[in-house]
Amino acid sequence: MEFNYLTTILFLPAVGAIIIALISRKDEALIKRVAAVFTGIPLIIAICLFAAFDRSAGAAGVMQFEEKYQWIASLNAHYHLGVDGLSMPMLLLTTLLGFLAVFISWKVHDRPRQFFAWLLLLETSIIGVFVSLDLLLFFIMWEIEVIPMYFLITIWGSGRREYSAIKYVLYTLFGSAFMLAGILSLYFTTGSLSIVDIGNQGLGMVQTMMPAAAIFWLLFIGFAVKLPMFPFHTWLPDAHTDAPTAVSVMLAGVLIKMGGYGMIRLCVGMFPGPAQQYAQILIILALIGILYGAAVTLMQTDIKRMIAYSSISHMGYVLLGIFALGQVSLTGAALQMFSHGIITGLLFAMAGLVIHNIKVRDLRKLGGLARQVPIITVVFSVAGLASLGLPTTSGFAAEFLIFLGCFNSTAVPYAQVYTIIAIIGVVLTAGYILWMLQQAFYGPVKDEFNGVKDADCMEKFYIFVLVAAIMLVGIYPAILTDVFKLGITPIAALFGS
Amino acid sequence: MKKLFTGFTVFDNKGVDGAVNGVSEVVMSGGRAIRQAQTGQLQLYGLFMIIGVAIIGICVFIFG
Repeated sequence: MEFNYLTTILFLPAVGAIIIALISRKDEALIKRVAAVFTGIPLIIAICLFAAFDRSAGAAGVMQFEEKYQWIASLNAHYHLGVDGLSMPMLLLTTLLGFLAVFISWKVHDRPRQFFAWLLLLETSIIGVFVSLDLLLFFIMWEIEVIPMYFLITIWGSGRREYSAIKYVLYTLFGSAFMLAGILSLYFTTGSLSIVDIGNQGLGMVQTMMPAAAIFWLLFIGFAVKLPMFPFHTWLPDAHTDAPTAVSVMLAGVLIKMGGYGMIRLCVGMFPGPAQQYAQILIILALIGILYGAAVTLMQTDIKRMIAYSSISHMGYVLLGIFALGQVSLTGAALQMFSHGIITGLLFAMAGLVIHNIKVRDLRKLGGLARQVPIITVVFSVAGLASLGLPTTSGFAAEFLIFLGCFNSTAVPYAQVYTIIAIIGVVLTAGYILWMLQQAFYGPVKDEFNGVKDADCMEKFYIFVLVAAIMLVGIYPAILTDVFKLGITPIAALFGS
Repeated sequence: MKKLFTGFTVFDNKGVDGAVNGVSEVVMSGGRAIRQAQTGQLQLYGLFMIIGVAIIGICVFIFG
């Protein structure tokens, strides 16, 4: 019998959460060490699976490390896990950020037992979304994620935390209701809950119970709320701003990527007809998200809120890449999801450090910090420049592929015009990133910040890992694109790409 | 340009987010209004039941 690697990765954080719940609340150091171990082992296994992943051309569209067991016979539901080229890097990203989130939270002293238990359960649910190949399991994992998020924001958040947490939950459940209706419709029309079977057999399997376009939209709304797409985005700035730092990292890093992943896997992969039919409308919404998100970001003064709004703009690029419906643009969108995960994860981690060490989050009150906290300044600058798409960083590779793929897209009319409009967003991004860096770190030194602490050893550890990942993907993007294209190729082939 | 971007920000806060909060306000107002019917008087609840059964009966009679 083969070892169930994916099950191990999926449930180790949850097992860690249970063990943490049984540890004495006074033993804070042990709680944190257990959290590190139970997120570290999944990361190591994920790295091994990534290294062992079959990258040959024959592996395109093939699920690897599959595990399939009968679950609910009467529903034809299976406990079915597996990863292809699309989900493997997302699994790696989730385990990486899940592990680093523990170190980012090392200074959490308020109810650490509950905090780390919820954090680990959150990781399990997100991993579950990326590795599930059964729609019921996928949906359950999608829903479980809401519970830890609610408690993490409500108990350990700041500002209007109760408002933000409830808003997040209600928004998510609103989207989930549509998604559940879509999944049920898909089940009743195909008689299957298998993502692989429905994807492989395409619309040939779909009978006449419900129009394909209706199911496409039901699923799409669920994913659009999570991405988030304009105008379903207003939960994001509140949740990101008021969440504790590690939760902001997970939220921006991997949680919103569930939306993009779902769009590619379920909406585009299963409904190529409706996807192409409505691509233009969705690309226009993507452009609004890119430009409008960037314009609103420019007006923010709260350091976390600014990064949060920038995510709306960056997720617009993902939506653009997805609905340009080409091999290159879809690969770019997938790479942008990974790249945004590590860049924004680092930006939120650094913003958390600024807020924790300097106790100021208003950019207008900061300034001249470069001399007082040089390490934070350098790393924040690197993350900022990566966010605006500086060459040799992952942000450049991802956005370049999206623009290239969109410009050459034959699936959507006027794709060249849309690409040029989208590129304006890069200029706005440069504007708010450089303004943020200038406001916080440059200009005259302020005496009130003399003696503030710079990053310590543990903080240097996680920022080094994230900076290294940003540079590695930026300099050698093929490390990911070679894997992504195995998952993207069969989907792009539906559109003749 | 700054005025335009400020306009977007106001639109986001008052327009898009305002619409979302408006929906929740409508739901809560609706809940408050309907709560008036919860008087605790069993006779009134009985009356509501009879009215409900009558409406269903009429619907069945007309459309059935």
